[in-house]
Amino acid sequence: MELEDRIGALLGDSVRELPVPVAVIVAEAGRQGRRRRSRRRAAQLAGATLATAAVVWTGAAIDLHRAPAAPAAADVVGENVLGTLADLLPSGASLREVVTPPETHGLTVRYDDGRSPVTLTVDLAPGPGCTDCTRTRLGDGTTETSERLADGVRVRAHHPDGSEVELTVRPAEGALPLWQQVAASPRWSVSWPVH
Amino acid sequence: MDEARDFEEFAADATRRLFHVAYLMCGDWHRAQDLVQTALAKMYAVWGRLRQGEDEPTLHAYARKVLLRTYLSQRRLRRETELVVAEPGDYARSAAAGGTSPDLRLTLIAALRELPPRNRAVVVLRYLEDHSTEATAEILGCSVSAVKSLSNRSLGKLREILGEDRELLFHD
Repeated sequence: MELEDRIGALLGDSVRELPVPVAVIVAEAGRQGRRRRSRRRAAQLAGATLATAAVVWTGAAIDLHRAPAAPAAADVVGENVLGTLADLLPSGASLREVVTPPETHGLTVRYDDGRSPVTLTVDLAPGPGCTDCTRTRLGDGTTETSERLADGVRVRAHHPDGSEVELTVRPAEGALPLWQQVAASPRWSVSWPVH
Repeated sequence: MDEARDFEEFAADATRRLFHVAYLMCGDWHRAQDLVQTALAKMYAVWGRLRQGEDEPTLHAYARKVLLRTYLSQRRLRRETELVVAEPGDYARSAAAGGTSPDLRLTLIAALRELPPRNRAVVVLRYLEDHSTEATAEILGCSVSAVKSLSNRSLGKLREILGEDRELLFHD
Protein backbone atom coordinates (compact mmCIF):
# COMPACT_ATOMS: atom_id res chain seq x y z
CA MET A 1 0.00 0.00 0.00
CA GLU A 2 1.28 3.47 -0.83
CA LEU A 3 2.00 6.06 1.82
CA GLU A 4 -0.45 8.44 0.18
CA ASP A 5 -3.30 5.98 0.68
CA ARG A 6 -2.60 5.31 4.34
CA ILE A 7 -1.22 8.51 5.79
CA GLY A 8 -4.58 10.13 6.53
CA ALA A 9 -5.67 7.19 8.69
CA LEU A 10 -2.26 7.05 10.37
CA LEU A 11 -2.36 10.73 11.23
CA GLY A 12 -5.89 10.32 12.56
CA ASP A 13 -4.73 7.40 14.72
CA SER A 14 -1.84 9.50 16.01
CA VAL A 15 -4.10 12.08 17.60
CA ARG A 16 -7.23 10.09 18.33
CA GLU A 17 -6.49 9.66 22.02
CA LEU A 18 -4.99 13.11 22.49
CA PRO A 19 -6.60 14.73 25.57
CA VAL A 20 -8.12 18.06 24.53
CA PRO A 21 -9.02 20.65 27.23
CA VAL A 22 -12.10 21.85 25.37
CA ALA A 23 -13.71 23.80 28.24
CA VAL A 24 -10.49 25.62 29.11
CA ILE A 25 -9.80 26.55 25.49
CA VAL A 26 -13.33 27.82 24.90
CA ALA A 27 -13.28 29.94 28.08
CA GLU A 28 -9.85 31.39 27.40
CA ALA A 29 -10.61 32.03 23.72
CA GLY A 30 -13.70 33.99 24.75
CA ARG A 31 -11.69 35.98 27.24
CA GLN A 32 -8.88 36.76 24.81
CA GLY A 33 -11.45 37.53 22.12
CA ARG A 34 -13.19 40.09 24.31
CA ARG A 35 -9.84 41.76 24.95
CA ARG A 36 -9.06 41.83 21.26
CA ARG A 37 -12.45 43.31 20.50
CA SER A 38 -12.07 45.95 23.19
CA ARG A 39 -8.66 46.94 21.85
CA ARG A 40 -9.93 46.99 18.28
CA ARG A 41 -12.84 49.20 19.26
CA ALA A 42 -10.55 51.44 21.29
CA ALA A 43 -8.34 51.79 18.22
CA GLN A 44 -11.37 52.57 16.10
CA LEU A 45 -12.46 55.10 18.70
CA ALA A 46 -9.04 56.71 18.63
CA GLY A 47 -9.28 56.91 14.86
CA ALA A 48 -12.77 58.39 15.11
CA THR A 49 -11.54 60.91 17.69
CA LEU A 50 -8.72 61.99 15.42
CA ALA A 51 -11.12 62.27 12.53
CA THR A 52 -13.51 64.28 14.70
CA ALA A 53 -10.69 66.57 15.79
CA ALA A 54 -9.78 67.07 12.16
CA VAL A 55 -13.39 67.95 11.32
CA VAL A 56 -13.60 70.38 14.24
CA TRP A 57 -10.32 71.98 13.26
CA THR A 58 -11.42 72.24 9.64
CA GLY A 59 -14.83 73.54 10.70
CA ALA A 60 -13.22 76.20 12.85
CA ALA A 61 -10.88 77.15 10.05
CA ILE A 62 -13.76 77.77 7.67
CA ASP A 63 -16.12 79.05 10.38
CA LEU A 64 -18.38 76.03 10.11
CA HIS A 65 -20.28 75.66 13.38
CA ARG A 66 -21.57 72.16 12.98
CA ALA A 67 -21.40 69.80 15.96
CA PRO A 68 -19.48 66.64 15.06
CA ALA A 69 -21.07 63.27 15.64
CA ALA A 70 -19.58 61.46 18.63
CA PRO A 71 -19.98 57.90 19.89
CA ALA A 72 -22.47 57.50 22.72
CA ALA A 73 -20.63 58.09 25.98
CA ALA A 74 -22.11 55.00 27.64
CA ASP A 75 -20.83 52.76 24.80
CA VAL A 76 -17.38 54.29 24.99
CA VAL A 77 -17.19 53.89 28.74
CA GLY A 78 -18.52 50.34 28.65
CA GLU A 79 -15.92 49.15 26.14
CA ASN A 80 -13.07 50.83 28.00
CA VAL A 81 -14.21 49.45 31.33
CA LEU A 82 -14.56 45.93 29.97
CA GLY A 83 -11.09 46.05 28.43
CA THR A 84 -9.53 47.41 31.60
CA LEU A 85 -11.35 44.91 33.77
CA ALA A 86 -10.25 42.02 31.56
CA ASP A 87 -6.66 43.20 31.82
CA LEU A 88 -6.77 43.56 35.61
CA LEU A 89 -8.41 40.24 36.48
CA PRO A 90 -6.31 37.05 36.63
CA SER A 91 -6.19 35.03 33.43
CA GLY A 92 -7.78 31.63 33.16
CA ALA A 93 -11.31 32.69 34.11
CA SER A 94 -14.30 33.67 32.05
CA LEU A 95 -15.72 37.16 31.92
CA ARG A 96 -19.11 37.73 30.37
CA GLU A 97 -20.86 41.06 30.12
CA VAL A 98 -24.45 41.11 31.29
CA VAL A 99 -27.12 43.68 30.61
CA THR A 100 -25.99 47.11 31.68
CA PRO A 101 -28.63 49.84 31.96
CA PRO A 102 -28.19 52.70 29.48
CA GLU A 103 -26.61 55.89 30.80
CA THR A 104 -24.62 53.83 33.28
CA HIS A 105 -21.06 54.95 33.87
CA GLY A 106 -19.68 51.45 33.93
CA LEU A 107 -20.92 47.95 33.39
CA THR A 108 -21.90 44.66 35.00
CA VAL A 109 -20.17 41.38 34.21
CA ARG A 110 -20.30 37.78 35.31
CA TYR A 111 -16.84 36.63 36.41
CA ASP A 112 -16.17 32.92 36.82
CA ASP A 113 -12.78 31.65 37.93
CA GLY A 114 -14.06 28.07 38.14
CA ARG A 115 -14.40 28.16 41.92
CA SER A 116 -16.72 30.97 42.95
CA PRO A 117 -18.53 32.85 40.18
CA VAL A 118 -19.58 36.40 41.06
CA THR A 119 -21.36 39.33 39.50
CA LEU A 120 -19.17 42.43 39.27
CA THR A 121 -20.53 45.92 38.80
CA VAL A 122 -18.10 48.69 37.98
CA ASP A 123 -19.24 52.28 38.36
CA LEU A 124 -17.01 55.17 37.36
CA ALA A 125 -19.33 57.82 38.77
CA PRO A 126 -20.46 56.42 42.11
CA GLY A 127 -22.82 58.21 44.43
CA PRO A 128 -22.14 59.33 48.02
CA GLY A 129 -19.49 57.43 49.97
CA CYS A 130 -20.08 54.85 52.64
CA THR A 131 -20.39 55.52 56.36
CA ASP A 132 -19.75 52.14 57.93
CA CYS A 133 -16.71 50.91 56.10
CA THR A 134 -12.99 50.22 56.35
CA ARG A 135 -10.83 53.02 54.97
CA THR A 136 -7.24 52.58 53.74
CA ARG A 137 -4.82 55.13 52.32
CA LEU A 138 -2.47 53.64 49.73
CA GLY A 139 1.09 54.69 48.92
CA ASP A 140 0.16 56.53 45.71
CA GLY A 141 -2.39 58.69 47.52
CA THR A 142 -5.42 56.59 46.57
CA THR A 143 -8.02 56.27 49.31
CA GLU A 144 -9.84 52.97 49.33
CA THR A 145 -12.93 51.96 51.26
CA SER A 146 -14.40 48.50 51.69
CA GLU A 147 -17.99 47.98 52.74
CA ARG A 148 -19.81 44.77 53.60
CA LEU A 149 -23.26 44.57 52.01
CA ALA A 150 -26.02 42.15 52.93
CA ASP A 151 -25.35 40.15 49.76
CA GLY A 152 -21.87 41.20 48.74
CA VAL A 153 -19.02 43.59 49.16
CA ARG A 154 -18.36 47.06 47.75
CA VAL A 155 -14.90 48.51 47.23
CA ARG A 156 -14.38 52.12 46.23
CA ALA A 157 -11.12 53.80 45.27
CA HIS A 158 -10.70 57.56 45.13
CA HIS A 159 -7.61 58.27 43.03
CA PRO A 160 -5.34 61.32 43.53
CA ASP A 161 -6.44 62.83 40.19
CA GLY A 162 -10.04 62.95 41.44
CA SER A 163 -11.30 59.94 39.52
CA GLU A 164 -13.29 57.32 41.38
CA VAL A 165 -14.14 53.70 40.74
CA GLU A 166 -16.58 51.57 42.64
CA LEU A 167 -16.62 47.79 42.40
CA THR A 168 -19.61 45.89 43.77
CA VAL A 169 -19.22 42.13 44.04
CA ARG A 170 -22.11 39.76 44.67
CA PRO A 171 -22.00 37.41 46.47
CA ALA A 172 -19.17 38.31 48.83
CA GLU A 173 -16.77 35.51 48.04
CA GLY A 174 -13.44 35.41 49.83
CA ALA A 175 -11.31 37.38 47.39
CA LEU A 176 -11.52 40.87 48.90
CA PRO A 177 -7.79 41.56 48.33
CA LEU A 178 -8.31 40.91 44.62
CA TRP A 179 -11.23 43.33 44.36
CA GLN A 180 -9.27 45.94 46.35
CA GLN A 181 -6.32 45.50 44.03
CA VAL A 182 -8.54 45.86 40.95
CA ALA A 183 -10.25 49.01 42.27
CA ALA A 184 -6.95 50.59 43.30
CA SER A 185 -5.34 50.17 39.88
CA PRO A 186 -4.10 53.44 38.33
CA ARG A 187 -5.52 52.14 35.04
CA TRP A 188 -8.90 53.57 36.09
CA SER A 189 -7.42 57.06 36.24
CA VAL A 190 -7.53 57.37 32.47
CA SER A 191 -9.92 60.20 31.75
CA TRP A 192 -13.03 58.85 30.08
CA PRO A 193 -16.09 60.80 29.05
CA VAL A 194 -17.99 59.99 32.25
CA HIS A 195 -19.57 63.33 32.96
CA MET B 1 -29.18 33.36 21.12
CA ASP B 2 -26.67 35.87 22.40
CA GLU B 3 -23.37 36.29 20.63
CA ALA B 4 -21.16 34.92 23.41
CA ARG B 5 -23.19 31.76 23.81
CA ASP B 6 -23.33 31.26 20.06
CA PHE B 7 -19.55 31.59 19.86
CA GLU B 8 -19.04 29.19 22.75
CA GLU B 9 -21.17 26.55 21.06
CA PHE B 10 -19.21 26.91 17.84
CA ALA B 11 -15.88 26.86 19.68
CA ALA B 12 -16.83 23.80 21.73
CA ASP B 13 -17.74 22.02 18.51
CA ALA B 14 -14.59 23.05 16.63
CA THR B 15 -11.94 22.82 19.35
CA ARG B 16 -11.15 19.10 19.28
CA ARG B 17 -10.47 18.98 15.55
CA LEU B 18 -8.54 22.25 15.60
CA PHE B 19 -6.43 20.92 18.45
CA HIS B 20 -5.53 17.82 16.45
CA VAL B 21 -4.42 19.96 13.52
CA ALA B 22 -2.50 22.31 15.81
CA TYR B 23 -0.78 19.45 17.58
CA LEU B 24 0.32 17.81 14.36
CA MET B 25 1.62 21.18 13.16
CA CYS B 26 3.62 22.15 16.23
CA GLY B 27 4.14 18.85 18.09
CA ASP B 28 3.71 20.47 21.49
CA TRP B 29 0.56 20.03 23.56
CA HIS B 30 0.74 23.39 25.35
CA ARG B 31 1.57 25.29 22.23
CA ALA B 32 -1.29 23.59 20.43
CA GLN B 33 -3.59 24.85 23.17
CA ASP B 34 -2.24 28.40 22.75
CA LEU B 35 -2.65 28.25 18.99
CA VAL B 36 -6.26 27.10 19.16
CA GLN B 37 -7.10 29.71 21.79
CA THR B 38 -5.51 32.47 19.74
CA ALA B 39 -7.24 31.39 16.53
CA LEU B 40 -10.64 31.23 18.23
CA ALA B 41 -10.05 34.54 20.02
CA LYS B 42 -9.36 36.19 16.66
CA MET B 43 -12.67 34.86 15.43
CA TYR B 44 -14.51 35.94 18.56
CA ALA B 45 -13.32 39.52 18.08
CA VAL B 46 -15.27 39.70 14.80
CA TRP B 47 -17.87 37.06 15.59
CA GLY B 48 -20.94 39.18 14.84
CA ARG B 49 -19.68 39.94 11.36
CA LEU B 50 -18.57 36.36 10.70
CA ARG B 51 -21.88 34.93 11.83
CA GLN B 52 -23.86 37.23 9.58
CA GLY B 53 -22.10 36.20 6.42
CA GLU B 54 -21.08 32.57 6.82
CA ASP B 55 -22.71 29.20 7.35
CA GLU B 56 -21.41 26.56 9.78
CA PRO B 57 -19.09 24.59 7.40
CA THR B 58 -17.58 27.82 6.11
CA LEU B 59 -16.90 28.96 9.67
CA HIS B 60 -15.12 25.68 10.44
CA ALA B 61 -13.00 26.03 7.31
CA TYR B 62 -12.29 29.63 8.25
CA ALA B 63 -11.19 28.51 11.72
CA ARG B 64 -8.61 26.18 10.15
CA LYS B 65 -7.37 28.99 7.97
CA VAL B 66 -6.95 31.31 10.95
CA LEU B 67 -5.23 28.57 12.95
CA LEU B 68 -2.72 27.68 10.24
CA ARG B 69 -1.97 31.27 9.33
CA THR B 70 -1.46 32.07 13.00
CA TYR B 71 0.97 29.19 13.27
CA LEU B 72 2.85 30.08 10.09
CA SER B 73 3.07 33.78 10.99
CA GLN B 74 4.33 32.96 14.49
CA ARG B 75 6.97 30.76 12.91
CA ARG B 76 8.08 33.60 10.67
CA LEU B 77 8.18 36.07 13.54
CA ARG B 78 10.06 33.85 15.92
CA ARG B 79 12.45 32.37 13.36
CA GLU B 80 12.80 29.59 15.80
CA THR B 81 14.37 26.20 15.39
CA GLU B 82 11.88 23.59 16.37
CA LEU B 83 13.03 20.53 18.19
CA VAL B 84 11.95 17.22 16.86
CA VAL B 85 9.91 15.78 19.65
CA ALA B 86 10.82 12.16 20.13
CA GLU B 87 8.17 11.72 22.79
CA PRO B 88 5.21 13.99 22.17
CA GLY B 89 3.48 12.97 25.37
CA ASP B 90 2.28 10.24 27.60
CA TYR B 91 -1.00 10.08 25.78
CA ALA B 92 0.60 8.47 22.75
CA ARG B 93 2.07 5.67 24.78
CA SER B 94 -1.22 4.91 26.42
CA ALA B 95 -3.18 5.16 23.22
CA ALA B 96 -3.47 1.55 22.33
CA ALA B 97 -6.99 1.69 21.03
CA GLY B 98 -6.07 2.30 17.38
CA GLY B 99 -4.77 -0.25 14.95
CA THR B 100 -1.27 1.25 14.89
CA SER B 101 1.09 0.74 17.80
CA PRO B 102 2.02 3.83 19.88
CA ASP B 103 5.70 3.58 18.93
CA LEU B 104 4.93 3.65 15.26
CA ARG B 105 2.60 6.59 15.75
CA LEU B 106 5.42 8.41 17.51
CA THR B 107 7.62 7.58 14.57
CA LEU B 108 5.10 9.11 12.20
CA ILE B 109 4.72 12.28 14.28
CA ALA B 110 8.49 12.62 14.55
CA ALA B 111 8.80 12.18 10.78
CA LEU B 112 6.14 14.79 10.17
CA ARG B 113 8.01 17.24 12.37
CA GLU B 114 11.06 16.99 10.18
CA LEU B 115 9.14 18.63 7.35
CA PRO B 116 9.18 22.43 6.98
CA PRO B 117 6.03 24.09 8.38
CA ARG B 118 4.30 24.73 5.05
CA ASN B 119 4.93 21.18 3.87
CA ARG B 120 3.58 19.90 7.17
CA ALA B 121 0.50 22.08 6.78
CA VAL B 122 -0.13 20.67 3.32
CA VAL B 123 0.16 17.09 4.58
CA VAL B 124 -2.19 17.74 7.49
CA LEU B 125 -4.77 19.57 5.38
CA ARG B 126 -4.65 17.18 2.43
CA TYR B 127 -4.46 13.87 4.25
CA LEU B 128 -5.80 14.34 7.79
CA GLU B 129 -8.44 16.90 6.93
CA ASP B 130 -9.05 15.49 3.44
CA HIS B 131 -9.17 18.91 1.79
CA SER B 132 -8.85 19.20 -1.98
CA THR B 133 -5.77 20.85 -3.46
CA GLU B 134 -7.94 23.89 -4.25
CA ALA B 135 -9.24 24.19 -0.68
CA THR B 136 -5.73 23.67 0.72
CA ALA B 137 -4.41 26.39 -1.57
CA GLU B 138 -7.15 28.73 -0.43
CA ILE B 139 -6.46 28.08 3.26
CA LEU B 140 -2.71 28.56 2.90
CA GLY B 141 -2.98 31.48 0.51
CA CYS B 142 -0.92 29.90 -2.28
CA SER B 143 -1.51 28.44 -5.74
CA VAL B 144 -2.88 24.98 -6.51
CA SER B 145 0.32 24.04 -8.29
CA ALA B 146 2.31 25.06 -5.20
CA VAL B 147 0.16 22.76 -3.08
CA LYS B 148 0.68 19.85 -5.49
CA SER B 149 4.39 20.44 -5.51
CA LEU B 150 4.59 20.74 -1.70
CA SER B 151 2.46 17.63 -1.33
CA ASN B 152 4.65 15.51 -3.64
CA ARG B 153 7.84 16.71 -2.03
CA SER B 154 6.45 16.12 1.46
CA LEU B 155 5.37 12.56 0.74
CA GLY B 156 8.75 11.83 -0.83
CA LYS B 157 10.49 13.19 2.23
CA LEU B 158 8.27 11.18 4.57
CA ARG B 159 9.00 7.98 2.61
CA GLU B 160 12.66 8.73 2.97
CA ILE B 161 12.46 9.50 6.71
CA LEU B 162 10.25 6.56 7.57
CA GLY B 163 12.34 4.09 5.58
CA GLU B 164 11.76 0.58 6.88
CA ASP B 165 9.27 1.83 9.47
CA ARG B 166 6.95 2.63 6.59
CA GLU B 167 6.45 -1.08 5.89
CA LEU B 168 5.69 -1.66 9.57
CA LEU B 169 3.16 1.17 9.58
CA PHE B 170 1.41 -0.26 6.57
CA HIS B 171 1.34 -3.83 7.79
CA ASP B 172 0.55 -3.22 11.44
